[in-house]
Amino acid sequence: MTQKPILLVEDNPDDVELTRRAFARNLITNPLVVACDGVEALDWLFGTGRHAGRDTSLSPAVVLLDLKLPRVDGLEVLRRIRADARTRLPPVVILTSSREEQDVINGYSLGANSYIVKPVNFVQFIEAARQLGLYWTLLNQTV
Amino acid sequence: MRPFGIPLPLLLGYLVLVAGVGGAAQVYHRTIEQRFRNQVEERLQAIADLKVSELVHWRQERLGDAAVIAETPQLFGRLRELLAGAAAAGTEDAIRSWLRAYRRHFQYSRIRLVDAGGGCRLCEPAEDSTSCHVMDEHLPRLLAAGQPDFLDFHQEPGGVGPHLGLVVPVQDDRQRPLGALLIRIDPEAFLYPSLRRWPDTSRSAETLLVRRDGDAALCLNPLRQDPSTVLHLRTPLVGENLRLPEARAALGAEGLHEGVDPQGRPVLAMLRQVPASPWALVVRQDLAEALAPLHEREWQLLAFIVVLLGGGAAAFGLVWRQQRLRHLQSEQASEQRFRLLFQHLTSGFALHELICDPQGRPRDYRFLAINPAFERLTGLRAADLVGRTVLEVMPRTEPEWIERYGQVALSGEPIRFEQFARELDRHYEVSAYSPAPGQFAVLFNDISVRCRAEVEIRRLNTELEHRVAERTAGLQLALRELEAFSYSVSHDLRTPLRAIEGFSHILLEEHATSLDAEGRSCLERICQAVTRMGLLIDDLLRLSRVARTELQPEAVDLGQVAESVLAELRQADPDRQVEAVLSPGLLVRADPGLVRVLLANLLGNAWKFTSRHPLARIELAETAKDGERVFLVRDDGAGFDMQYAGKLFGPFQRLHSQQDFAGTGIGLAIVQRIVQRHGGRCWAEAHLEKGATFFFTLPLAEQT
Repeated sequence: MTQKPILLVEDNPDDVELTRRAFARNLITNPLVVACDGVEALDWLFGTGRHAGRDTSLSPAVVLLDLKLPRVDGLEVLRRIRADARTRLPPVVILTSSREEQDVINGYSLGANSYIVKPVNFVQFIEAARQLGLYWTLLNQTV
Repeated sequence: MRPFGIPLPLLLGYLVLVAGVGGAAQVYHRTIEQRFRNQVEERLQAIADLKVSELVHWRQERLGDAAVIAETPQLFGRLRELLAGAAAAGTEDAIRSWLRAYRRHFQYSRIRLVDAGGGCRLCEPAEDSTSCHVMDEHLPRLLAAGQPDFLDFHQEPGGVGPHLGLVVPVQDDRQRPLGALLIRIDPEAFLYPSLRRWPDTSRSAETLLVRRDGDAALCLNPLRQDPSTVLHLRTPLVGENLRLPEARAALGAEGLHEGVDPQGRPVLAMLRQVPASPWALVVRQDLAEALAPLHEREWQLLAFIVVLLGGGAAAFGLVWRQQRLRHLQSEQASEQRFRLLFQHLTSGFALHELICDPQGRPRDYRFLAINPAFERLTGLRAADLVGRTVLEVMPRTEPEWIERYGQVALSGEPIRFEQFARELDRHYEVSAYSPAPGQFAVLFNDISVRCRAEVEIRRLNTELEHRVAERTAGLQLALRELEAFSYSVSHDLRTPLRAIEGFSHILLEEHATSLDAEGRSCLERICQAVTRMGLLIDDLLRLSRVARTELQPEAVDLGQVAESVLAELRQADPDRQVEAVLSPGLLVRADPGLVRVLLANLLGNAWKFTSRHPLARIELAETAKDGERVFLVRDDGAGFDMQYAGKLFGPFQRLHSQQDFAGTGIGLAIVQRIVQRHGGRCWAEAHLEKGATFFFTLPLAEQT
């Protein structure tokens, strides 16, 4: 059985790289699809634009969504994901460096499954990625 | 209205005077009249009594004379002899001379001697021997009586007379009638003059001697007005004639009688019956003449009353005139004042008369008077308005004006209102009242300027509100920008830090063999610096959050919050020996979340700066400064140099080295921000190694 991909919506290549390494250290082997902004993330999810023709039946194991994104921001992406029946089910984890309370509230009210503040410290970051990967990928596979 | 405006009390006073004088005059007049009538009656009575007594006396004298003849033997014997036909010579002459003397003495007009058959035997004077029919008629009766008697007034058929007759019968010894002496008495000789006599110069006074003759009264003496009536004036005793005194007297009445004379004039009469005679006496006088002095008195009285009342009227008139003059003067003064007020009043004033439709609803109104201010305030001319109606002058006048004024004029209730007059394009403040039914007066001021100012104020207010709203919107925008900035700092600054830290870590862990010891040391320092920068950024964001959080004040017990904070500190550092002294009942009204941050910082500082001492004491209490309640957090820790107290509350200001006490220097900045947001103040006192005290004020909770 092929593993479901993890969709990482992140515009910062450093963070992408660190995330990739964090997953690798934690032996999370799901393919990592990276969208560098909200538009691309939506294109990938709905098979439009640059990703036109993609088999959208292949839904991601989890969507890791940065909030601050070029063009269409993370909360808008979340809103669209939850508004479409095809993408309603996959868990969405907001992964951001923001501690703003309003972001947390908005995220949960729009249907985010979890909210993780990206720590500055890399060790803590790896730990967070481990817990995240284990929890959500396992959870997803059992469904 | 009173006639001529004469004051009612004056008029009443005069009427009372008139009534009083009239009444007094009436009583006086009646008394006088009664007294005068009594006098007239008494006089009439005296005259009547006097005349009656004269008549009685005269008759007795005459009968006495006759008796003397009968009882004079010399004469009477000779008469018998002569009548018996046995007279001696010379007897006749003797009788004649005696009779002559007798006639002359008593002023008889004729004496005749007749025999029983009526034949004349002797006559004195001799030349007048005509017989008398009346005498002849009564002779047998008189002879039979045998006593001297009168033959009452009679007139000879030939028109001689009137006369009175005195009969002296002559009898023989056996009382048989032989004849008689017939004496003719001329009433003009004594009786008539006596009757005619009157004690004063009355023109209407009249004395009547009457005798009842069958069913009529016969007047026996000639009247002054008409002497021919004697023995001809027969007054039948019926009907209206009974009002005549002579008729009354003939019927036997006596005393005072008020009646009329034959000419119908009212007369006053005294009636008397003459004793021992068929006569009745009437003494009468015209009432007009009798009462003439009374009327004269009446006229005098009337003149007196007229003079009195005239004088009274004049006096009253004078008083009234003076009063009126004074009243007019005061009225003039009042009118003058009113006119001055009317002329110089700065408010517009006008008097109007309401005009109603046939249903009694106000339809229009007419201008009666207008003051100069009215002209000034409306721009209309009095000459164009007075006498005309408002709809004639200003047809576009709003109906509510007429309606409102109509209510005032009809109900009498005054009103006050402000209204815009379309015709005049002005705002007016109007007071209206009704000085008389159907009229109303208005007093008004032009408040157009004020109204325009009010409109302007409203406009400015609206504009100000707009501006405030704009500014608020601007501020909100700035605040949002600030939030965005904070957000940006939070997100954007942390991201490169994470990259630095992350890749440094990877370098250290995966490429350690490629680096020497110095290279690894450098990388470790980089990692430490990055971690600290992360803390600084977090603190900066915390401070910013304190500034932006919306306050939700409620009653908070500082002691309870402090206890909770200290419990957390103890949990994090269970080996410390710290004595906490918390005063109870420190109630404030503040945002509970921020109060917790405030105390967490202050108590955290105290906890931290006492960490070098094996035994520490931390105190939360309150004190009073200048009458104000001040809260304080005191510790016995490291303290600080008061020289740097001014820098204490600035962000990232630190008085201790990182080696001595870790920290970013943001805590007290946050404390100050929280206190200031609640409108309070905070300051600190300390001595090196003798501890520090942080003071702050917060709004107090209302005591329940």
